[in-house]
Amino acid sequence: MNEQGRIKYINSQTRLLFGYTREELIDQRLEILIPERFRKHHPAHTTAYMHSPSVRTMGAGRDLCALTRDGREIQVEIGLHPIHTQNGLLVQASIIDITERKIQEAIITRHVIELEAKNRELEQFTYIASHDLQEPLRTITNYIHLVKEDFGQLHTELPMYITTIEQSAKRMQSLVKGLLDFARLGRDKVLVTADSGRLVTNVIADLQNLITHSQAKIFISDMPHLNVYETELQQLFQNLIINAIKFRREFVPPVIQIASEQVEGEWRFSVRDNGIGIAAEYHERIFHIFQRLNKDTEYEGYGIGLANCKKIAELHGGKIWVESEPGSGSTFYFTIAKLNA
Amino acid sequence: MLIDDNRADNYYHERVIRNNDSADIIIAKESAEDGLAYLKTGEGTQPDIIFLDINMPGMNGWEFLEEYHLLDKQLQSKVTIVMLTTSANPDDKAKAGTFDSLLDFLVKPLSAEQLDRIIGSFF
Repeated sequence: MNEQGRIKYINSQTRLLFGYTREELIDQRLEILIPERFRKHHPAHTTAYMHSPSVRTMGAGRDLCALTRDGREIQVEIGLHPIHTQNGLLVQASIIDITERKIQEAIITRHVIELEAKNRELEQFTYIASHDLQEPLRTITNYIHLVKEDFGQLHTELPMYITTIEQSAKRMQSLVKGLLDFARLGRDKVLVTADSGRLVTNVIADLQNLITHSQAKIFISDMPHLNVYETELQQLFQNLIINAIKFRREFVPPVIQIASEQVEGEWRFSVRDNGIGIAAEYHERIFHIFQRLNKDTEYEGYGIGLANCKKIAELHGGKIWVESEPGSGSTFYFTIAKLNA
Repeated sequence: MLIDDNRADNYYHERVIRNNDSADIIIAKESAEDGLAYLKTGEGTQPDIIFLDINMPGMNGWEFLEEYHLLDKQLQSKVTIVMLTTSANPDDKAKAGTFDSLLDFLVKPLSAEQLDRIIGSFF
């Protein structure tokens, strides 16, 4: 295009894009390629550009439209490049058809919005469900308390019945609370740069009683500073360490090794124990909420810890998995993507 | 005064209050509207403490508080309101912190210790 805004050269790609022949375009005003409604102001833009030509994209972030020979409008991105020649200033315009990209973008945006709405709905659902489940449970517990107070002495077996009801109600309360915590997990998350080693030492300090009591030995290798949701990540470490201690072998004090490694732009953490191990068929299932492998009488629990761990790893754009065999300990791995704070 | 749509909870809390000798008169209302209407008339015994539930059909606890703030200031000055709810929801707890008129935010059930603490802090 020359200084007067007339087309001087075009390549074959441009011919294909607009559907004109070379002859039809050469020496035409550029406005032939622009939808009617933008034509009026275009010569002024051209003049302004010619006064201070520079290499830049056109439209400064706005969507640009172009007009083909058969009257279709296409969305384009245009790069401008001034060339000083013997015949005066020419401007080379590189035109990219982004119609398809724009359609894809619109579809993706719509999906993201739908997904966000669904997620909020689900979170709300879980919250309301667990909240409303708490209420009758509490009433049961309260009234059992009354029965115990008023009639506990009447019958020798009554206290035992009542204790059983009480324990069940308490257990259900814990399950519902677990569900509630699971639903809320990551809701108020804040991304910060944290020392993952310090998060682990925090956990160890918090679990001092358990560690002393079980004679657990915990070894930590070099741990990175990285961008994480601090509270959530600390909970992840805590759950894995508690599990490593809880599922120990009888008469074998737990030995836990915590390590980290950079793998393909992610951090991969591992928590290795010398506990009872997990059969291969359960390696997936243990990460689902309320899934448990052991009887209550052997290992108490609610089947919530690892589901939380999975959710936390996923919040960090990562994964969690286990390598283990029964009797020879387990190693839990999880990854954390590079997140920009 | 107890304002809670859950009759079983009102009964239980009444009993806790009575057994603890914490009140001479206990008025239980099963909706925020009824509670508000009672306060508005100014007749009968007016409460010193109101235990207020949040989640109730119709007017909820928060809406009750908004209406309550429109009542006679002198009446308000004599009443202490405590949220007493199933909700351990941190959002609700945070919201409760923004109301000056709320003395406390308790999760059900009300216990004798909580009662003593509240009464001790005031009378």
